[in-house]
This record gives sequence, C-alpha cells and structure tokens, in this order.
Amino acid sequence: MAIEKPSAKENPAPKSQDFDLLKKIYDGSGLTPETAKQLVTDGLKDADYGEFYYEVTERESLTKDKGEYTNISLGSSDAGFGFRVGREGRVGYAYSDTFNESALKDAITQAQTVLEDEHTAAPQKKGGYGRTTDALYAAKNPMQSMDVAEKIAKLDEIEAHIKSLDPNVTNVTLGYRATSKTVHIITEDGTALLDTRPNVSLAIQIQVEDENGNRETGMHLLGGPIDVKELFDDAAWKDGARQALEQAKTLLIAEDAPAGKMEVVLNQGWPAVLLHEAIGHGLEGDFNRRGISVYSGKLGQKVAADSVTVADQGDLPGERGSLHFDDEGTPTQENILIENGILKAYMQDRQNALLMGDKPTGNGRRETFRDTPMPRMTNTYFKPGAHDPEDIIKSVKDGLYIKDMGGGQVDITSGKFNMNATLGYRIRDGKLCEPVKGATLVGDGLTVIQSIKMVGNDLTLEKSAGMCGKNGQSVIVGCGQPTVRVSNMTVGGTKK
Amino acid sequence: MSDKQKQEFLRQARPLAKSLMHHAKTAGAKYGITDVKIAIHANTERDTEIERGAVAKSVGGTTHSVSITLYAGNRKLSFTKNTLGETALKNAMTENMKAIHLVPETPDARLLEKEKVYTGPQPNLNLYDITQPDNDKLISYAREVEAAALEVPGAKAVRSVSISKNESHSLIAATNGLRLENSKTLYQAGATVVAEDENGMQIDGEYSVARHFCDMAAPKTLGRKAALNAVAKLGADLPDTGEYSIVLDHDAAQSFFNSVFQAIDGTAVHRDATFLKGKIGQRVMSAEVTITDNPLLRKGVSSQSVDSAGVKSEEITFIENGILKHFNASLTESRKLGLEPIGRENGRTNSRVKPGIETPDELISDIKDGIYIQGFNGGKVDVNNGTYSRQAYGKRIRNGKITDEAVDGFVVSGNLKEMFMNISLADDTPPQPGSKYSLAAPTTRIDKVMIAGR
Repeated sequence: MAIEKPSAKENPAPKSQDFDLLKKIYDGSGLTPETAKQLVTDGLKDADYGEFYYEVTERESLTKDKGEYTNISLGSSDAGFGFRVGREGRVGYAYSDTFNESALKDAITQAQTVLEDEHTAAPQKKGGYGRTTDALYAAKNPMQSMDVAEKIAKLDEIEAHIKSLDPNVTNVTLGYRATSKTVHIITEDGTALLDTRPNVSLAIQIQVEDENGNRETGMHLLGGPIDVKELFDDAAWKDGARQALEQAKTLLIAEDAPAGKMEVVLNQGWPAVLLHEAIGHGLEGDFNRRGISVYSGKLGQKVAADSVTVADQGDLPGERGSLHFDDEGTPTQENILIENGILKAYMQDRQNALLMGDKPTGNGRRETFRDTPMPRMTNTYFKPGAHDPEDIIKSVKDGLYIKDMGGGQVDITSGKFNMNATLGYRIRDGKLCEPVKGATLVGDGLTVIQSIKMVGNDLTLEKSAGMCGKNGQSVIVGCGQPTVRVSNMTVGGTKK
Repeated sequence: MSDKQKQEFLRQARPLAKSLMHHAKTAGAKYGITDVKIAIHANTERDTEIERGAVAKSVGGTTHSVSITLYAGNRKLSFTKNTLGETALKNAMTENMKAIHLVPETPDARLLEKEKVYTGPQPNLNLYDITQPDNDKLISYAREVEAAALEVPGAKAVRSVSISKNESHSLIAATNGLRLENSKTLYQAGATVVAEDENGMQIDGEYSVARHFCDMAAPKTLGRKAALNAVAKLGADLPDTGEYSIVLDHDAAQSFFNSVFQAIDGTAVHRDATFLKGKIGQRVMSAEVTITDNPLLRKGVSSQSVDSAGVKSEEITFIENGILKHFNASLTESRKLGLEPIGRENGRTNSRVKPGIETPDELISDIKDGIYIQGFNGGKVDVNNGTYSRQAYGKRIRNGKITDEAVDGFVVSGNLKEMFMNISLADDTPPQPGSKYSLAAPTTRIDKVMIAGR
C-alpha cells in the first residue's frame, strides 16, 4: 500500500460550517469563543498542561435480526464539556453536560483543587498545538445524505440478497451505526480547535446450518470515517456479505485447531490486531513512564527482528484511527516506534511526555468528555517488507495460516497476550490445506517480534473494524500489516 | 450529596416526565402515537487515583440522560439525549413522531400489557447509602490500599489505585402505568500492582464493589490481596500440554459460570445460537449444580424489585440440580419464545451457585496432577457450539495440594457441553453482599479438561 501524506496546512481558513457549529455550541451559554478562551487560559496559568474540551456526539442505529428491526434509534445525542488542569503527575478534571458560564467557572475551580499545594517552579508548557491538515476525512455529519426510509430499504435489500445467496442461511443480523462527533478544544495557549469526526459501520452476521444441524456464524464489518452513502455502496456490501457467508460455510467444515508450538503465517490487514495488542500497548507512554511495560527502559535497544518496523500514524487519509488533532489539541503525525528492530519511541500524551522529557506525539485520546486523555494508538502498522505473500506460505513446511482474527487481550507488564483466530488453514508443504477453527494464539509480544521471519510486501490497513479498550475507555483505532511469518508460536487448539 | 440530591432530581424529573408524556399524547395524536416510555437518569461520580500517597487524579462530574421510546401501534422508535432541556427533548420527540410511520412493525416489542405492570408495594432494598463518606475519607481509603500493597515483599510499583463514588437517580414512566423511582449509590475501589523478580515483572490486582461504603473490603486487605496476586504470578511457567483436572478459585469460577448465562441468554435462544436451546427441563449440568438469582437481596449490587419493563422481580432458580429451568429472557424475548416474562429485563441480578458438600481441600485431595486456576484472560466462548478456549493462570496442584508453582499463559480448551457435566463443587460460595461477586460461585472442580501449554 502506498501511504501518501497530505500536504500540511498550518491554519486552514475557517469554513462557514465552523461558524455554524460554534454558534450551536455557544448559543445560550452566556459565553463567546473569546470569553471562554479568557476563562480557560486564566484557569490554566499555573498548569503544565490541560485544556477545555467540548464535545457533542450525534448518533443513530438500526439493527435487523431474524427479519425484524429489534432496534431503531434516531436523533440521539450526547454533549458536554470537561476542564482539565495538570501539574507534573497530578490531574484535576471536572465535567458537566450543562455548558454555560457558571458551569465552566465551577469546573475550573473544582479541577484546580487538586493543585492546591503551592508551587515554586514556573509551569513547564510545551506548546505545539494545532492541526496536521483538515483533509484526512470529510469533517461533517455522515448520516444526513440518506433518510431513515432509505436506510431501512437498504438493510432490507442486503438481507434479501444474503438469503438469496444460499438456502442454508438460517439467520442474518445486520447492525448499522453512525456517529458524528464534534470536538471543540481550547488549549492553555489559547489555541481554539474545531473538528467533526464521522464514523459509520455496518456489521453483517450470517448464520448457516448444515444437514446435521450444526451452525456457524460468519461476520464482516464495513465502515470508517466515511459517509453513509459510501457505506451502503452496493459493491462494498455485496463483497462483505460474500465474505461473511464464505467464512460461516468454511467454519462449518473446519476442523478443530491443533495445539502446540508451530510456524504461523498471519494474513495481511486485520490480523495486525495482534501487533496492536501484543506490541502497541506496551509502547504507550503511561506504562513506560511508570516502568511497568516490558519495553520500559529499552529505547535504542534491539527489541525485534531486523525486518520489523512499526509505526503509529494518526495523519493517514481515510483511516479509522486518523484525527486532524488529538483530544489534547496536538496535531497527529507519523511516529516510528520500532525501526529495523530498534526501539525508537513511545506514544505520548501531554502528561507523560512532560514527565518523561519527551515530545507529545499526537496520541492523547479520550472516549468522551467524561474522561481524561491518555496515550492511545491511532493507526498502528508494520511497514512492508520484501517478500511476496505466496512465497511466505510456500516457505512453511508444516504450520498454520491465520486468515481471520477475532479479538484479544494483553498484559502489558509481562507482555503476554492471547488472540482468538476465527478462521485458519493448516499449511502443509507450502500449501494451504484444511480449514481450522478455535485456535488461540498465545505468547508474549517481545518474543513474537523477535521471531518474525518474513515480512510481506502487501501492507493493508484494516478499514472497518477496530475498537480499543483501555482503563474503561473505548476509542476507534486502525491497524494493518502485510503478510507476516512468525516462528514457533504457541497455539491453543481444541483438537483432542 | 445525600438525600438532597435525590429530592432535587425528583423535583426536576417528575414534572419533566409528566410534560413529555403529555406532549406524546397531544402532539403525537396526529402521528398515531399510542404509547410512550420515558426514562430519566442522573449520575454523579467522583473518581480519585492515588500515587505515592498523594492524589494523582481527581475526576468529578454530573451527567443526565433522557431516553424516550415512542410507540405507534406495533411500531417503535427511540432516542436518548443527555439533557433535561424540555424544548430540546420535545423537538426530538416531534422529529421521531414524524418518522415513526416509516419504521417496520415489531409487535413483540410493545410495552407490557397494562394489567401485568406491577404497581404494588416495593420492599426497601437499601441500595442508597445515606451516610456517604466525604472525599477525605475516600482518599485515605485509597492511601491505605496503596500502602498495604507496597508493603508486600516483591511488590515493585502500583499501576493504579483508585476509588470511585457514584450516585445515580432514575425515574421511569410509561403510558401502561409503569412508574419507578430509584436512587442508588455505588462504591468501587481497585488496585493494580506490579511485582518483580529476577525473571521479570507480573501484574495483577484486586477490587471491591458495594452499594454502601461500610460494605467495602477493608483497604489493608484489598491492597495486600492485590499485591499478593501479582507476586503469586512471579516465575510463572507453562504447564505441559495435556488433559488435567482443573480447580477454579472464586474469581475464575465467577468467570466460568458466566458462560452458563451466555448459553441461556434469551437473544441467543431466539437466534438459535446456543446449544441449550430447547433444553428446558433437561439435565445440562452436573446434578450438584444449582444456580439461583435473587433480585431482592438487601444492599445487593444488582438488586431490584421491579424490572425496567414493569415486571415484578423475584428469586428464580435457573439451574436446579443440573436441570435447566428457565432462560434468561427480556420481555420482548419472552414473547418471541412464548414464555412468561421473568422480571429480568436488564439481565440476571445477584446470582449464586449453591455450595457443594466437600471442603475445598477435600475437593482437591485426590488430584494427583492438576491446575488451580486463579483467573482467565480473555479468550473465546462460543455458546453456539460450546467451544471454550481461554487463556488462564494459576498454580500447579500436585498430590492433592495446591503448590507454589505458578503457571501462566496456557489455554483451557474444552467444550461447555462436556465441561458442564464434569463439575464438582466445594462448600465455600462467598456471601452476598459482603463479597465483590455479583455471581458468587464456590471453588469449582472440572475434570478431563484439555490444557494447551508447552
């Protein structure tokens, strides 16, 4: 995949939609952007970091299950603001769903109580706020180009199409969700930022049954920071439906996965969730600042095989985890975390960058205005290598090819992870053989990146799946990789 | 805080609900609106994190939410907004009234029949702590947790120590006569501790949760347990791959028995996506397994006397001596399955696996070579076909005794259909309330389980 970086615009001219949005935010609050800026910058005078963060999220969803709309929700919204003040390791944060002058003043007072004891040193401000560009996605509400009747008609059409594909389909579940999150940030130096972050998704689940009554479910997700019209593009959902059906049918004939140590080839794209879990989390600044990650204190050291280069990049156009600026007002950028096997950098938010003498990297993110930011991934991926993916499979005498991955978990301190492979294939003598299900990949991240034997030239970023949970906060992320071969991985299978 | 906040909430919520219901009836008439359900919530939280004895983070705030579901005959449409602003809510209602005729009919999703709505007396379940501790008291609790954790030999650092206090109020009203007013408090404290030895670092933790502050675990006990859990994982190794008897401690047993609730979940049954579909009245677990669910537990974390659909909630036995008695279905699911609603609109409440007869020591005594499991990390449970594949950690059992040999990173692989039948239970189900468990289960032994390790 060719990754093109858009040209950076320091200060894109304000658009008329921005004025409308600001008007909506401030209407009835007794505040203007100017008076709010004054209160915020005064409130952050003695802080090392902090900001005013306002957010309004509009959402809608439709679920069709077993031929019936089990949920239709239209016109929901969630709005509020938070004020954060940080001094070295201490953070005060107050939020409210009522935005007006007295609520903002109260929040400032309440947040500041955590800094009560006196300071002698001057605040250590880092600056560097702004936006990378305004062209990573269309900053507008993505759900307005179709009305509810059209969306219902589309889901009906998709369901009918899937049923027509195969008589063994016993159930179709379709879940459509759309959000439009408008974020308004005022930083300690008075920089005011505004962005609208669209996200739409369609989950297609297909249950099939064989002649013995065995059932399996296949799943495919579509979506991203795109408009609903693009989501319901016929070619895209037809392909998604075909893939979900094929997965379900293959799972019906799949054998239980073997258990033990083996050569594993990971498919391009979504299996990079392993990279996200097993390596990415360990490179987040907060864990390393506390010295509790397996990667702590290893900057500049060789931690992975030579062929491994890992990046987290929030400024990729059209990707799930892309942001024009993070939730602290820092522009996103490309961060090379591991380069040719050498650990180069951690992902930072403002607090941890300050405490580690590092620069903020555009990774300070939060789920909603109720939450404080922390270092989070954006789009995390392995840079491509030299190998043809077919040659990678050919190189394995006896092993396991992971086609579709489910989710997983990591313990960042020991580095141990477990990942569920939805569907895999045995590799024998360099060829893909029988499908297998129920495999769990277990191990520790360091060992995995040291055991990477071959990296393919077929980098793909996953467009439609990827929500990441940390400390109870869930954010949208992207991940990707080319085909990768890992030696000697532990596979937990169910085959007796 | 305290009672004042509750009164203030009701002072705002009661007239708001009334006005919104009135709007549905009057403005809704021309759009064919027949019913409406309104749920108003307010939530205030205060969350404090401690680092090296000082407050590292303090987060506080209040938010609201109003969920409105409109019904036009068999059509249903809903939205949620986090404002008590009457105009904004009425405008959103009007938008949905205009759109509701576009929505396909879902007869099973209609409101509970008027005559079935429970309107009788409700017991006081004591879910609201009127003697709420002030912030300093919460901070000193968290400090004690941290200090106790760091006193344990081998504990290197804490990843986090936090305590939160949550106060929530709700009012639910609907045109079928449903009317519920609830106020609850909830305290949660947790510590995550990193332990280190020459082989590397391990992390684990412990938490406590209660409706009343006085029911929280003693801070010293909590901190110490968190650190001991992490230290216990030091030097952990992979066991050899093979078939073992496994024994689950209280944490692991809660996690395991949760899969029973996944397998009897109304949605899964309706979707034909569970192996327990059609098994009511049949033996699906070992004869010694009885699982009850009691929503009327005073001070229980999941207690309620009426569910949010308006059905009276009473004690239910889901599994009795291994026999499946009920599915865990909501009102809509019950209708689809042709069952009477069971008062579990929001899922199970305070669930309990009845204790067995043997002591934990006796339960383990004849296991020559087994694994004592102290926790699961993620994994896959598929109730469609019973696949159970989860990473776990714990200790080796040798010659009938739990040893100090830590094991970690292995995968418990099995099928629930068989695992459910191979269960034996000890006599030590933890008390409720008085423990952190919303599903309390005794030390549990499962025989003939495949472990994928070295």
